[in-house]
Amino acid sequence: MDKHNDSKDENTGTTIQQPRLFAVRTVAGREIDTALLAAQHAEDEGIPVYAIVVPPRIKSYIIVEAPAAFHVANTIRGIRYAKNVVPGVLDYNDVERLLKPEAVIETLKPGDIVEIISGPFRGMKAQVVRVQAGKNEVVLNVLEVEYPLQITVPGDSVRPARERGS
Amino acid sequence: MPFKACRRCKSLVPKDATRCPVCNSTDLSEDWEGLIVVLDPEKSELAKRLGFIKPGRYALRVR
Repeated sequence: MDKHNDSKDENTGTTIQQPRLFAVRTVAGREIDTALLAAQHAEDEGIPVYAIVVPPRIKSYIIVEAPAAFHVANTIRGIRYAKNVVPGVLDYNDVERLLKPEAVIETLKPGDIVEIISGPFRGMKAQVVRVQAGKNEVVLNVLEVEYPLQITVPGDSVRPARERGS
Repeated sequence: MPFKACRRCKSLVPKDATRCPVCNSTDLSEDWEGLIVVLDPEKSELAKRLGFIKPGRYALRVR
């Protein structure tokens, strides 16, 4: 859980509310629709919502950044795809880790063993020959074929192979 | 998906657009995932952390 303390503006004496992250449960497959409708609703009604996120590869949840849960509840009111606000707040570092693109390619170096996770060679092990970070591509030597086979795949089609025994 | 994403600024543009209205790039992609709607970039801690400084709709990953 995040620790946020609301602070007071010395000039106006009003309380500045720190942003917090709330998860909202939605109908599966309607995350983007819910986010767009909620954003429109917040803008129209002047509800203090700062950002709305649809995390990649997470079904049935969106994340709303607002100063308080009741603002989030007001935002999703009337949206049929939105179910409820999940009690509690999310940690900024956790959410940031979830949203920032995985920089797998930056951790790879020639000679590393990787597993191919998409495309026709999915499931096969390969050795990194060259990393082209600018193009987000990796040149691999496929290990599980009888003849030398070099292929170029997108950086997000590979993952570092697990160490033996782990 | 009703949008395409700009590979340069990650902004989401309508599917029939040929040019990004934000950065004027023509490098648009239909292969994107994750979305963030930034309403108030000055108050949004998340937008700051992810590097979005203008209000708008953005993709989180563009291929």
